[in-house]
Formats: sequence, C-alpha cells, structure tokens
Amino acid sequence: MAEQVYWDDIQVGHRISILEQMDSQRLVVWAAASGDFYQIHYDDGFARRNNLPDVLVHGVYKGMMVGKLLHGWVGDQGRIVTWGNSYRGMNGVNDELTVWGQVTRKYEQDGQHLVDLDVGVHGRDQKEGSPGTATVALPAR
Amino acid sequence: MTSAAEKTMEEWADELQSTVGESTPGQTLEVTTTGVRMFARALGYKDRVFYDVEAAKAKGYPNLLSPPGYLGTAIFDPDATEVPGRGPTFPRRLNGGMELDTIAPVFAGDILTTVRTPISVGVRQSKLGMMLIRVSETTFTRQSDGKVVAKRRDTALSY
Repeated sequence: MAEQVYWDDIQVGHRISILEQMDSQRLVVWAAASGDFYQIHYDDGFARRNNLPDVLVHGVYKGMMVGKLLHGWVGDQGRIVTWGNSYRGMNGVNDELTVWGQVTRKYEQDGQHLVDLDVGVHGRDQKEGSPGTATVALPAR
Repeated sequence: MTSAAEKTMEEWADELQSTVGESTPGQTLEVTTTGVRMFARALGYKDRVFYDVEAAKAKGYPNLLSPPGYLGTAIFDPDATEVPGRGPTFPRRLNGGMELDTIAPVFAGDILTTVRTPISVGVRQSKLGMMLIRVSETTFTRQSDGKVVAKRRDTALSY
C-alpha cells in the first residue's frame, strides 16, 4: 500500500488517477468474477452483429475500477463511504482506461473527516463515459 | 394477456409504478475466499489482504477482506432461464449505473441476503429510442450478525 494520506493534507482540486491497460484476458477474468457472461464482452462476432464497434469493457468493471482507485488512495486507515458511476460511454477491449478522482469538498460530519470527489473513467479518446461521485473518510493528524 | 409489443413504454411505466416501494427478498450471496481472490485479480489489485489470509489477519481482519464493491456471488440456479443482456419483457437491457454505500466491511466466509425495493420508474427518449428507466435499491444483510453491510442503488435501462 502507498503511504497513508491524511485529511489535513488534502485540498479541494487534488486529483488522483490510475491507468489501466485493458485486454481480452482481463475481460474474461472479470466475466468469471462477476458472473456477467453477456457475449458483447468477449465474442467479437456477437458484438459486431449487435452493431457494436468492438468487444466492450463492462460498465460495472469501470465502476469497480473507481473502487480500486479509492481503496488505494484512502489507505489502511481510511474508508470508502459511498461511490457511484453512471455507465454511459463505450470502451473497446484494448482501450487504456484512465480512472480518476478529483476532490470537490472536505468537511467534518458526525466526528468523521470526509472528502467528496468527482470520479470517472475515460479511454484514450478522453471522453468521460462513467461520471460519478464519491465520499471517503480519511484519518486526521 | 397483452404482449410487450402491444404495450407502449409509458403503459409499462404506469404498470410498474405500482411496484415502487414494495420490497421483495432477493438472493443469497456467498462471499468465498475464491470469489474474493477472483474479483481482486480481475481488477488487478495488489493488496494482499484480498489474497492472503495471514496478511489479512495481520491487519486485524478475521479473513480475506472483500474488495470494494464485491458483495458475494449468487448461488447458481440451473433452472434459471435468463439470457444475458435480455430482460423478460424488452429486447434489450443495459446497466445504467450504480451508487454503493459501504456501511461495514465484508469478509470471506460471510453470507449475505438481499432485499430489493424499486424506488422509481420513468420513461425518456434516448438515441436508442424510448427507454424505460428503473431504479431500485438493494440492501445487503450479513446472516451471521444481522448487520446491514451495504446498500446499492442500481439503474436498469430497457428499450
């Protein structure tokens, strides 16, 4: 795990991100992990017969990637309170995903030190296809 | 019985409106060590609390920690007839998004039960045609201690 992040040190506008290179193997492992066996995510012919440009990354996979980003950021002493994404855009099987978050607010509530973020996932085309928000609790110094 | 083709989206929305607020018991979900590891592997996690029981215990957890968003795997029903990507009524169904409240940590060995409540039904024009938008909330309760561990709101799009 990375070094622990503290609420006191985070400012509005702070940005976090990870890059994830997708490939067919990752989608197949995800299909097994999630139980989503819809063929548009692994069968090229099926995807094209359904008027799709390519085999597509699962929307939920992109949403869960945001969970991975947040887990890595909040560290052992932090906690993800809530997060969510809309699944609007399409990303092809070999796209490189940028999974990002940007702090929009920091505040104290019920004894917790909280941070709100905008979050999202986009491919090489930079079009945001999975916009959302998140709230995490961070330790204070 | 009226077929799906004979009903408009608006008529379906009106009919489904009567289910809003009505909770129904859903699935039993098993959080297994294998399931936790597979979910973490699929997402490329490196944190060993998802893979190594001793590493998890060293951080004070009773077993492998479940990665964010993993709330177990439903017990497979060999008689289920659902076709992936297709709803019972409409030719196409898409997952429109989700919001997840993580209330308590989940661990390998937990068994969760769900209760699902439709919270809104609507219709809107989209580039794919008229679309039925259903939002539901699912509550996940751990069987061993009765604690609600998560709530998730899902948006289902049918067209």
